[in-house]
Amino acid sequence: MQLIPFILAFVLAGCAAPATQRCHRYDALTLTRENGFASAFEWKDARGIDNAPERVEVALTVVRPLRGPIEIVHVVGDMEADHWTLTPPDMGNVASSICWVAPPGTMPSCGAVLQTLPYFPSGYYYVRPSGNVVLEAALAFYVCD
Amino acid sequence: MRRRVVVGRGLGLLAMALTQAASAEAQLPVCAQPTPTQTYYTACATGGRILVARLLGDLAVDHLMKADSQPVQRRLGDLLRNVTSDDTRDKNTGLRNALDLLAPLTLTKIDTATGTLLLTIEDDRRRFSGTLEGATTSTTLSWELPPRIGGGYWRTPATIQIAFWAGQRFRFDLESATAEKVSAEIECLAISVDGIRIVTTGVDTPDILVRFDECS
Repeated sequence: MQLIPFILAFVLAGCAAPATQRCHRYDALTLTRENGFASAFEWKDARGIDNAPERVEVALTVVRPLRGPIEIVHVVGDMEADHWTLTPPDMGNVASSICWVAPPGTMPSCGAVLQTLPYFPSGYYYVRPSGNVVLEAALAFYVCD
Repeated sequence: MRRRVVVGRGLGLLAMALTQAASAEAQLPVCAQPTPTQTYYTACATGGRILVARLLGDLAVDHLMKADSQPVQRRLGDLLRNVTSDDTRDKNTGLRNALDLLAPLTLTKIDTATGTLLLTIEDDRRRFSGTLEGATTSTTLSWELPPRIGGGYWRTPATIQIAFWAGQRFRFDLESATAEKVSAEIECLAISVDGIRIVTTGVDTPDILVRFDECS
């Protein structure tokens, strides 16, 4: 933790006065064996995701090699609101991958884009492993004012 | 005020996980979510995403694939070596030596996503005072640490958040060459592939944000 002042020293060196930020990362939840790879999330914000650089981030740890795409399903009420079919790139057998699911027009890192805009994160999420051994999946939302 | 309440809630969830580890379902962040009105000291480190992704990927392997009884350890000096250049380290031998003398940071797993963190500090290594040399500027830094720095963490392949227990937090004083002064205590630390967010104790102290992109 002593690295923190080292970071701050260089922040101070920039002489920037404290200020608010336009974009923020909101870490949401993890889907793991402890919660049955399924969990609800409540987004207490009127903002949705509709323009780059806004995005959904899905971080996965999966036993390699993959046996096909992995799906993350988003349910609102009793309806499937969206699902993302993710094919994480093979990065030399590295177990963890980070996928950006972004509005159309941006390069999808794992093949999925947001279908309905604006996208509101509230709802219930679960993993369809499709034959893969998924160890964890985590969701984060990058939202701007 | 709201963010302090959320930190409290996060700590509460983690405490629940500690006492009910067998049925832990607290797969939730432990730091307060950011708010649009929060002010930050900011900096930009454009190469940070790759470095942090590698550190978090290594931690995921250690956390998920080692035996449950085996804690994960990291030396702060090694972490410093991973995130700074040779030139920067050569200019800051005092800090480098202080970090190398510390015991390893120990992460003890509770479940897939959560655990506890502990750094035990010997009495003669709890104080530091020196100058940090950057590329063009220098900053005076001092700290006096408690015997233990500890907290609970929540991790994913893309982030780690650490909420420090009251009385086991890191407190420091900094003064830049331009006379900017900061005295802060770290309440929560969120390291992700998008940046590093440091939540300080007290509503009057700005938080700290190091972005890895969207810097303009």
